[in-house]
Amino acid sequence: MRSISAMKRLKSGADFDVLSPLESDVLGVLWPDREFRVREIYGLLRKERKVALTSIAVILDRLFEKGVVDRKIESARGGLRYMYFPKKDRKQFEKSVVEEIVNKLIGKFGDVAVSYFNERFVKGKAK
Amino acid sequence: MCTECTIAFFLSPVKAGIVVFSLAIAIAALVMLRKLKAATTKQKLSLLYVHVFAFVFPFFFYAFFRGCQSYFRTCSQANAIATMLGLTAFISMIIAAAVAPLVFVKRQAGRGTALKGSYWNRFVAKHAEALSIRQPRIFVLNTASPVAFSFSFLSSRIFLSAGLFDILSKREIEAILLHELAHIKSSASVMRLSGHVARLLSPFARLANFLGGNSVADEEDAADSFAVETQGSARHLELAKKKIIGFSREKLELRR
Repeated sequence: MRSISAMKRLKSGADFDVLSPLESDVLGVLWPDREFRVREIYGLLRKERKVALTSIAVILDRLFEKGVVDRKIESARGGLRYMYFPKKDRKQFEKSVVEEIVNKLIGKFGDVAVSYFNERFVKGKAK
Repeated sequence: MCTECTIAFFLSPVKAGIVVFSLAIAIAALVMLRKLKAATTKQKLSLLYVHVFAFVFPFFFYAFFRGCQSYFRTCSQANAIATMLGLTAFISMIIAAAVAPLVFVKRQAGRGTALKGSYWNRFVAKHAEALSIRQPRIFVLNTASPVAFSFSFLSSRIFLSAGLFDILSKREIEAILLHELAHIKSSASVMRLSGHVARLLSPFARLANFLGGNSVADEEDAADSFAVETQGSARHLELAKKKIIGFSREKLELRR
């Protein structure tokens, strides 16, 4: 029963901290190493999809909390605003996602997952 | 007689020990208050309350025992102790509520960056002069959440977050600044913050209402009215509030 419910959660993606469509779009703007303010990213994305400025601000803050992007404060418009830039490039990010998924699979299925990966690597090498 | 009673008080190992122990707690709480940089506002305010309570308690303890040597012989000791502790807690609450805003503002100012010579400083200076109040200093907080608040005690300060500058337009930020200037003019921020402090220290929530909980809505309405009248339109303030609320709501939904 534990394995069946775990499988359902895996299929639904509930266990994986992957990107939402808007997060992917925002990172697509920033990768590989560009810096933008919230309004600039909003200006670029609203040409392609319906999106609110506050949504972009929230997503960037969330990506910052996840450690995917970083930010610095700079003077602008007489005040101080954030300039966001990617902390990890696309490959590093994808690697971290894969690591997380693999670790979760091993955590959930233990030896079964490890055996599978071993077989897969052996078959892969044999080919 | 007074001197003899005082000497007798401190010659008692138990009484002297209680006084020393209480003062030691007061000092420890103060040291922790200064050293724990990562503590939350609630934790810092709790430490402040502990410090004030532990500092004030010896005085009440001394007063009760010094003046009530016969009192304890004739009445219930439990009642006397309860009264002493209750009075100490009450007085400590008032002192903490008065001091805590200063602690809170100093902490926020320490985390923020002072704005100088900017358009916003000139905007605030112009309207502060019109309101006949001293020009408040402006601090920008390093947080993406769009927040704005003000404080006026000894020196006025307005705090805005970097996140606010990210999502609001120029006119919307002006509306927020006018709103905060109105709060400074009414000098309500000290009592509001004291009320907030009292509410955080929840056993005294009813006292918090006395300190300003019920008048918060009126204060907000008056500050809104000032901003709307000055700008000649409610549009900018309404849009600013909508964006600020929208940000909080979306962030909460993402966390679920």
